[in-house]
Amino acid sequence: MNEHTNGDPNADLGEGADDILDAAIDQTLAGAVPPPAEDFWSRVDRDLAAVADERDSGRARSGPTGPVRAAPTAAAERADVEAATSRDTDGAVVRLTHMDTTTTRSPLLLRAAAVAAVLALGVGGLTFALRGGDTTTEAATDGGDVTTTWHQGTTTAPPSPDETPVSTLVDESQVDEDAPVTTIPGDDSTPVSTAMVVVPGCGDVCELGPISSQDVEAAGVDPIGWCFWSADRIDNNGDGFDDLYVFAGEQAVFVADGTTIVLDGVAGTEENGSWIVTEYEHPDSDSGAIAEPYELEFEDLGPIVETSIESISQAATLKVKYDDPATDDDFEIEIRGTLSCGV
Amino acid sequence: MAERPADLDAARRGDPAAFGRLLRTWDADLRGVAWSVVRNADAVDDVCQSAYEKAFRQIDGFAGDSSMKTWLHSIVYRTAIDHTRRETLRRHESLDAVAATPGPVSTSDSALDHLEVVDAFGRLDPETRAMVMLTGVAGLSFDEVAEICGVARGTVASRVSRARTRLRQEALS
Repeated sequence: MNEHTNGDPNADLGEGADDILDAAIDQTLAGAVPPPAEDFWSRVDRDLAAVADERDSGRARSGPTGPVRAAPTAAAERADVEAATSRDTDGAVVRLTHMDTTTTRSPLLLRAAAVAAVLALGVGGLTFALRGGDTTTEAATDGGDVTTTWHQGTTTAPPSPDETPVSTLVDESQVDEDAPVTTIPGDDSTPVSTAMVVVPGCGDVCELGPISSQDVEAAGVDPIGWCFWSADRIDNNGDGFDDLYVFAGEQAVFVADGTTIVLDGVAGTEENGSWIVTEYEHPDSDSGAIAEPYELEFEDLGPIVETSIESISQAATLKVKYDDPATDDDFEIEIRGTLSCGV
Repeated sequence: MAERPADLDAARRGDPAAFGRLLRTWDADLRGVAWSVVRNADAVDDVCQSAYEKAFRQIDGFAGDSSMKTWLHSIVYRTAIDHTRRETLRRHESLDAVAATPGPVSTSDSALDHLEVVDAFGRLDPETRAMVMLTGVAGLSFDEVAEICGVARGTVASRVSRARTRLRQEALS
């Protein structure tokens, strides 16, 4: 017990006392940081020497802690996303393989659900390319395929909730595999909103998302509107590292009230370099059991559910809090992006 | 310990020895950021090793818009966050292990329960922990931390403020 406060942790010690206490706390935290292992620096020095050797020789090699990968190429080719298209009953399936040739751990950054994916594409100095191709899914460099369903449209306006997303533009027969790769230049200053991609061969711009009425029904909720969320946490500092997180507004993003939406399970990327939030459940997915819904709190976002509002699309920050059922730990992140809603 | 300008120049030219010296200069702070996120001694080493190798591999891409120190902090932070997110079950360092860590010499020892502080720190979310370490222990500005963490300055300020309040309460309870 602290004698200065008579045990009251909320007692006001004054600004000066707070400063002293903060300094002591910082000192405690600094002292709690574990020292490096005995061989730590020898390992680091070995890694650095290996990188220098690689740079000098210019040959591709396996990184000391990462998978086999190609040597870095030109900046415009630093990241390459290949898309192969095929059809399913609900839209063209786009299988994406992301091979980041610049990082040791070649993060596979995109993972989306079986329906209504919203992709955030590269920003932050990276250039991503989408290319029409065959139906073969190439394995990610660190394992695992990425599959998302591509609901297409030629307009950014959302469909009505009962409108079934259709695939009318992309057809395998229309895809010109020899068409040039279309690149989407990176821009680290603008949060990614709705992903707009151009698929050579299909001849049109395709918008990813939003969610269909079937998806809503499948999730067993009674929405008063629909939302989808495209977001970025993408290489904010332009260092090219694996900080592209796709927060797919996939199977269930619903307006529950004016300030809260509940994600009825959200899939992050799995073992391949991005964030793990939980498993999720979806009729079209084998991704596993559902966890507790996520409650998303809006910041800097006004009321989004009013009968007079037909739709809204607004940049916002979402604060995602994840209560880990295994550890009872809270895990909170913020995601900037664009929320689009309609009623 | 301040970095040597000659090492900065040499490191940017890809000199591994110079880069290694810079890392040693900043390692305590960088390690602190990694620890604040992953909270596991072995993982701290892994995160730092991986981040240092990544950074050196990317040294050509270091634009110099920020200091190299800030840049490195950013890479360590992101590597640590990625590491944490890969863990399906995050393991927490036990209080016993924390207790075995030599505590700091503090003039406020009598007023502070170190274990409570470290424990309370561990209950913060990883990103907030990193912000507290970056601002408090590493002494970086809110602007620098905002750049490192990829959030707005106000977010850093509010999170750190809330966390500080919580830590103070725990320290004095």
